[in-house]
Amino acid sequence: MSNATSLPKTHRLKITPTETQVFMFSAVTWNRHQIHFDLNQAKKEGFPAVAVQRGLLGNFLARMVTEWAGNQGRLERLQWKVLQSAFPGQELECIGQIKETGSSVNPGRVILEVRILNSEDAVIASGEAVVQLHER
Amino acid sequence: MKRSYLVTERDIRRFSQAIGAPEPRKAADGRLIAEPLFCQVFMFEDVPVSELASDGSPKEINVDIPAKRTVGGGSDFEIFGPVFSGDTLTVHSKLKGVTEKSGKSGTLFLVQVETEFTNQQGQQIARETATYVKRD
Repeated sequence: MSNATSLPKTHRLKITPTETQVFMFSAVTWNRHQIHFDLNQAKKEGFPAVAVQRGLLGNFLARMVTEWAGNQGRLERLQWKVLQSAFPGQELECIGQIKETGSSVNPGRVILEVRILNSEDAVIASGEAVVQLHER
Repeated sequence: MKRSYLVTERDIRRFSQAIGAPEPRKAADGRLIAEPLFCQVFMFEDVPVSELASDGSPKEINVDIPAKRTVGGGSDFEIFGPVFSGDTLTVHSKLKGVTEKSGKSGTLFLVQVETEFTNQQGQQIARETATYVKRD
């Protein structure tokens, strides 16, 4: 049986989204919401730049979690709430910390607390990830 | 609203590139394995621009409330199984509810949309409950 003790308690992944990436994510998800590609519209709505999508922020967290789990587990659930907008060019840090490991019913289940901070340590998003570790 | 899509290698590759993930992994039979939140590709209905609100925001959240701007929000994304190239995904999305809240900056509306994804074998692959925050 695999257990979470062989994995680090905390994992961090730094990502700096670019305008190209925000554009590609809108295109690949067929999201035509203008605040993600039209600077004028973004400014009209009070943003300094085009906004990074909620969905893309979720993928940054998912990448951090799958990098942490490696080939030892599978992401089963990701919950995240966007608390503040993020913009291209900002360095974001995704952090995952083990919150709960296993139970007698399911010893391979790990819950991570996840969050994204910007370079001023403001919380961009926070939530929780559930990872199921593979049995060995 | 129910719709079905074939998952191509191109879809999987473009999604990985958009989120900045490594080249997609291959299953033993050569099919590409999609990233955990890949189903986001089929989240928004591919309606013509004329059917979107003037800000281009997704049709799924175009509900009759006195609020124009869409900000922040969150997601609860459950992943029940992997997606492979060659799969056909059926997407079923519904408006789950609208909640009115009074925040510091005025009235907010939380619009919840639930989307379920099933593959060609009838297996449930993913479910997302997305929360969009709308305000005037």
